[in-house]
This record gives sequence, C-alpha cells and structure tokens, in this order.
Amino acid sequence: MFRLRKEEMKKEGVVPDIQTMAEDIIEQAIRARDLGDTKKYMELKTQAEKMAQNVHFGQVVTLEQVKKIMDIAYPIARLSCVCRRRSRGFKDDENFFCMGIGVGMYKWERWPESYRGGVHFMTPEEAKAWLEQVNEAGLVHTFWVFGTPYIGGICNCEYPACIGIRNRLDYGISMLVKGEYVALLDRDMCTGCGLCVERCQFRAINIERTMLKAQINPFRCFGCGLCEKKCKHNAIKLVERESLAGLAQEW
Amino acid sequence: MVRFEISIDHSRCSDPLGCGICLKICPTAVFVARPSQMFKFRETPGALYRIKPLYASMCTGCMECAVKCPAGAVRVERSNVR
Ligand code: SF4
Ligand code: SF4
Ligand code: SF4
Ligand code: SF4
Ligand code: SF4
Repeated sequence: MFRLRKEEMKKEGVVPDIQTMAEDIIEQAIRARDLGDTKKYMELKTQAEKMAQNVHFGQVVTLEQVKKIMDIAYPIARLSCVCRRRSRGFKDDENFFCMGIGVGMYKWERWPESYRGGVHFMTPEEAKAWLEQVNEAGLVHTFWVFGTPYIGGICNCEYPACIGIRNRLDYGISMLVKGEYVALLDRDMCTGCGLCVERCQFRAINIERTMLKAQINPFRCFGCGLCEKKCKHNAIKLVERESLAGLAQEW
Repeated sequence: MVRFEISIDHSRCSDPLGCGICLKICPTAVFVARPSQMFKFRETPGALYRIKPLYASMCTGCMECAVKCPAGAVRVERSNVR
C-alpha cells in the first residue's frame, strides 16, 4: 500500500513523504466513515494509527512534565504551529504556539525557507516561563515524536484547531494518545464553582446542577491537568492512569 | 453522514493561506488547507495549498463560507449521498 502510494506520488512529480501519506489515509478514513463504510473506515484507521506509532504520534503531558523536558532538551526553539495554519489559517507571525527541540532547529535556522516562519531560540528558563503563560491561557501541552522514539515537538493545543485532538474526538482516530495521568474529583472539597469546566479541551467536565458538584468523565479525561491548575479549592488531583484498573488500558 | 457536498473552485481561490477566511469563520471548522505538493528542503508556497472540506460531516449548512468567500469559490449543496 505504501509502496503503491509512493509510486503514484513519483508519477505526480512530488516528494513522497510519510507524513503526507498518513494524512491521505486519515482523509480516506474520514470519508469512509462519513459514507457509513465502517469496515473500510476501521481498516484505514488501523493503518493510520500503526503508521503514527512507528513515525509520528503525540501524547498529552502536564505543565510539570513539559517543564522537565525543557531541562534536558537542547536547543529549544519556538516555531509556527502547523495545525493552526492548516485548520484556522493562522499567519506565520501570529502562530508561534509550537516548540521544536533538538539539533534539527539549527538546520531550520540556517535555511529559514525549510520551515515556515523560521525558528526563535529560547533558553530553558524562557521556555518554562512561556509554557506557564500558555498553560494559564488554557492550552494543552503535548509532545510529538518524529521518527519514534525521538521527541521533536512540544505543542500547545486546543480543539478544534489541533488536528490531533480533532481527529481523535470527532473521528476516533488516535494520533494523539492520553497522558500518564487522569483527573479525579474530591467531592467534599468541590463547591461546584465551575471554573474547571472551560479549562477542559476534551469535554470531560460538567457541573451537576442539582448537586453543585463537578463531574469528571475519566474516560474522556486526557490527563492534561489544566482543570487542576484553576481549581481554587484543591478539589481536583491527578493520579496515575495505571493506578486505576479500569483506566490502565485507556490510552 | 454526508449532508452537504462542499466544493472549492481552486482556480478562484488563488492564495488560500493569504486569505483563509473560510478556515477562520466556519463554526465547526470544516475546512483545512493542505499543501498540494511537497518539496525537498523548502516549504510549500502558500499558493500551492488547497482548501479541502475535510470535516464536511460537521457542516450545518449555515452558508457563512459561501457568503463570505471573497472569490466566490465555495459551494455548499445538499447531498444525495446518504
Ligand atoms: S499539535 Fe498542537 S501545537 Fe502542534 S501543530 Fe498541532 S495544534 Fe499546533
Ligand atoms: S473548579 Fe474546583 S471547586 Fe470549582 S467546580 Fe471545578 S472542581 Fe469544583
Ligand atoms: S478533565 Fe482536567 S485533566 Fe482531564 S482532560 Fe479535562 S482539563 Fe485535562
Ligand atoms: S456552510 Fe457553514 S458549517 Fe458548512 S462549511 Fe460553510 S461555514 Fe461551515
Ligand atoms: S474564503 Fe474563499 S478565497 Fe478565501 S481561502 Fe476560503 S475558498 Fe479561498
């Protein structure tokens, strides 16, 4: 299948690119699903997810986790966000929501025509301060591997602009997997104030109006920790996904 | 489900990344712009991106895109496919 597609692309005179191939398969999967062809959708979805696992997938991480990555990664640069460009038409200069790490950044610095908008280098301290702002603004941190297992991108995502979140929530295609944690509610502490609700990009929280308590759906929760950061009453805590038998396999 | 067939006249939409109005205004973010070609060692120029109604199954038929597209390049029609 990949070889076929490669041949096809050679004929069209374009550079075959594994990322583009995965996007084509996802596009076909979405179309098959729209047309009610469940069998074809499942085949294509499985194929796309396998490709992602081998080459390019993402995972949700908390602010603390992403700050740790800043301490060990070098160099760190801000980059324009591919998803926002493609799904919401952000111009390069207003689109610096992504981060790249590793020596590849020098290549993009040297040849700015090889990455839209170029790169803006940051020190680990600048990077951590910026990530805190981004978290405050309500964006979900994710990391992405480029050629498993090399982490090449740190992303700050939201629905529906993030194509990874979009494809997963609306079309069931997992290029983005859930984080190591899951949010649990302490009902005694919760006042039902609702501050956490708008923090969730995954529609996992609502307020039960008659009880005035938050309700977190643990199967929808991706463990990003954004809700926990805004709760003034310490009613939300993150626990390891694998500590709960019913969630351990839910990635 | 396919409720609407959405088509883009690419000859009218000459600079999708420069314009991007349909991408920004669609309430359910139906559209994406994808490069129609990839090159080695350089990015695809904006003019070679193509608008695609990738998430057409979420179209409500509000017609915002068809009305607001400055080039008149977007058509939204009821679909015969079920
Ligand atoms: S994963 Fe997030 S930050 Fe990265 S390109 Fe997509 S939306 Fe942008
Ligand atoms: S922010 Fe905290 S106290 Fe308020 S509803 Fe959410 S969990 Fe409850
Ligand atoms: S419930 Fe909280 S931790 Fe879970 S995905 Fe939503 S905001 Fe993130
Ligand atoms: S008709 Fe409305 S919902 Fe449908 S694609 Fe256009 S703007 Fe989006
Ligand atoms: S609004 Fe029209 S001209 Fe502008 S990007 Fe969309 S299709 Fe192209």
